[in-house]
Amino acid sequence: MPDTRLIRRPDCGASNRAPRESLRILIPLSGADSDASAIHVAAEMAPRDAEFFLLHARSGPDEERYPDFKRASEAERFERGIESERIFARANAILASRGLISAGQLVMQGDPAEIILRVANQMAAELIVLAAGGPRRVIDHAACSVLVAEPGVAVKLTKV
Amino acid sequence: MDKVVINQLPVEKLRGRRVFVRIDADAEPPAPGVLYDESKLRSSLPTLEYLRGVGARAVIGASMGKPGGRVVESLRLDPVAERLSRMLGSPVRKLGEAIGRGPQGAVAGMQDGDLLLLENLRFYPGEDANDADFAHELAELCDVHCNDAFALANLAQASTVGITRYVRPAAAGLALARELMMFEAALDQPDPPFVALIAGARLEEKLPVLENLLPRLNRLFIGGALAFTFLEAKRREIGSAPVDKALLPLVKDFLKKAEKEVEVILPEDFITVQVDEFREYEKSGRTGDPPEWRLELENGIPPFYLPVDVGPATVNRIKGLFEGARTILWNGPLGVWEIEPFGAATRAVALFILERVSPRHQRSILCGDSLARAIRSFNLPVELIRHLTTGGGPALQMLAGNPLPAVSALDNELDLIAPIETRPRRILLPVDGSEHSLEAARKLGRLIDAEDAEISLLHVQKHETFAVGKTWIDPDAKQRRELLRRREADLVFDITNTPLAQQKLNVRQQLVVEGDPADEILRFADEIGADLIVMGSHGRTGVMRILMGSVSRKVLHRAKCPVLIVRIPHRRMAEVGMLET
Repeated sequence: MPDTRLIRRPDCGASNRAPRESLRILIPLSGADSDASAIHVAAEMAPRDAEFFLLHARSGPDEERYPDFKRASEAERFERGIESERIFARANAILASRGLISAGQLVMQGDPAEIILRVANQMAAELIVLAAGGPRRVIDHAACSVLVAEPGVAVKLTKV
Repeated sequence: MDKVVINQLPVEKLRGRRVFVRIDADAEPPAPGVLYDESKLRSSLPTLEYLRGVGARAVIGASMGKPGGRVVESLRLDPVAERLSRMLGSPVRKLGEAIGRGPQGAVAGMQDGDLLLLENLRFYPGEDANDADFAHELAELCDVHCNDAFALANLAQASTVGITRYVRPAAAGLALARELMMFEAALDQPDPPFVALIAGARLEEKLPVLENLLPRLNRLFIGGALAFTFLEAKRREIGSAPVDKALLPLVKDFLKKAEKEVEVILPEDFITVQVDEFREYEKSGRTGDPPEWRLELENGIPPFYLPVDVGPATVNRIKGLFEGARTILWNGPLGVWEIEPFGAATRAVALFILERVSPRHQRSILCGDSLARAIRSFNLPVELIRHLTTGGGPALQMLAGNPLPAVSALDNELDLIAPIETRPRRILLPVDGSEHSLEAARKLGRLIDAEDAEISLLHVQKHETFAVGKTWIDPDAKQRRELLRRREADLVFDITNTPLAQQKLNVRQQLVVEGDPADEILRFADEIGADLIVMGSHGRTGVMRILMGSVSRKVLHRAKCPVLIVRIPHRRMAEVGMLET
């Protein structure tokens, strides 16, 4: 299933890299304009050796958890792929405007908050950067630190 | 175009300065020392000539082939330096490395107007990984960044993206700027009628392009292998032509959507061969005579026959479409051009563009790697074709409406007029001596780039309500309480400062106030113009269901700047006795 694969860029393997592990930052994206706030803040605040992982968390039936559910057709998945590509391209453009680029990209469908928490655990993320309107549940339940890009907005939106 | 172009920079920003120019040497050299495609090299001549003219010191970075992050002798750039020297009519010195002492020394010895070529950047794994250290090493060699490699603009490499973190201004080279302007003109305000001919293979790559172009186009011609799935969607008889079954529903959707907006035109006739004969010919490595071909109408390709090119009626149709167009976009070859007779349609259309379209005031863009290879193989004067792009990948990405990372990395024109003012980041770290706030202090340097930040510690002490009544206060008690408060604050600051000092972080002020913690935190954040508030917090974990601290919650509700919630790992919470295991 190609759209749930974590695509990693080749390791750079620079020899003079400090021994400490680089910081893994998870940036969940929804496709909304507010995604930009999270990426801007992440790019602005992150330490030099951080690795940015983009997660497009689509809301819909959770395909990973209930594989018996009728799977989306290849055409449907392809169309989703185009949408995700677009979201990633926009995010990467913002990162690139600061000389950065994502280290990996992942698309998953299900309940966004659950997906974010699950992926953060699986990839051992140390930080989640949440956009305005990012699911509030992530702030409460994340096992790692959470940077909320536009706190006031995030809370207002989730209250609706 | 909103990106700065190298010739828009004031000359005094270039004269005597070291300018790193990223060019694309070649994709795949066929043999050591042989350049497959000189046109990419030639496209960067204007920028190099300009830099030499204004007395800049051009440090040229280039890549060739795919050495995979290690030195491959046959991919050294000596032939590139030699060719550039000849084209420019002045020596281009070539170095054996791209970073380190050697290049640093060589760059230090440069004179105004000198040109210097670094070794193949892809010999270093950090190039394709956009590695910050490698980018920094490249940045040490220059004062100004210039990207002139359109063909690589869809990638984020250390020499195109990472380096811009350390070198500003970052400007587009003349060739890159020209490509971008061509595409922008076609995509943003195309002069109608706008006709697109999208052909070639790989439907999955072209569908996003078609979707994005649809609202801009007046007519759309679909050719090449792409057309088979469209013909199948229209239930035409297409013999043994390969069809992308999985994407067929999408193609049907697209055709339905397109019906209302543009005229979608498909090939009318085909050159076909017997599929078995063709397979035999492929198996033999395309030696000997190509299989017998015959001309077939679009509706009548018999089974076991495979279309390999479009026929003369289709070519005439395309010519007619192009004749009346003001903006033309062509992507992908029409047939199996690698086999001589089946490149005829592609050649005929290319010749038509060259002879009829390019000399007139029609805007035409030809893109795609295989189309470019095809046209070059026909021995046509490609320089006269307006405009044959040097990058297939980036062109597709732009046509699909997606931004290019290497372009996003360049400075905007506005940055030049009003550069963004930078000041040290201001971080507000509320502290109370608890394990949470200590954890926030411990992790701050790990989670955030706080090296040059000014950190303000804020210790909020609660009002002691029982002592508020004015008449009751005993001066001694008041003093004692003040002393206790002082001592408590000092203790809290002390234990917080230790981990901060260990991370070499810089505490600018330590504040003690009385009041409601959340209110005071928010008030001070405003007062000092905080860019970030850092709060320690326990999470809400399965069985325990501890709520996130009410203070953090309130701050999150009302903060005007980003808030970082630093979490103590579950395991550690148990260790410090905050959680029963």
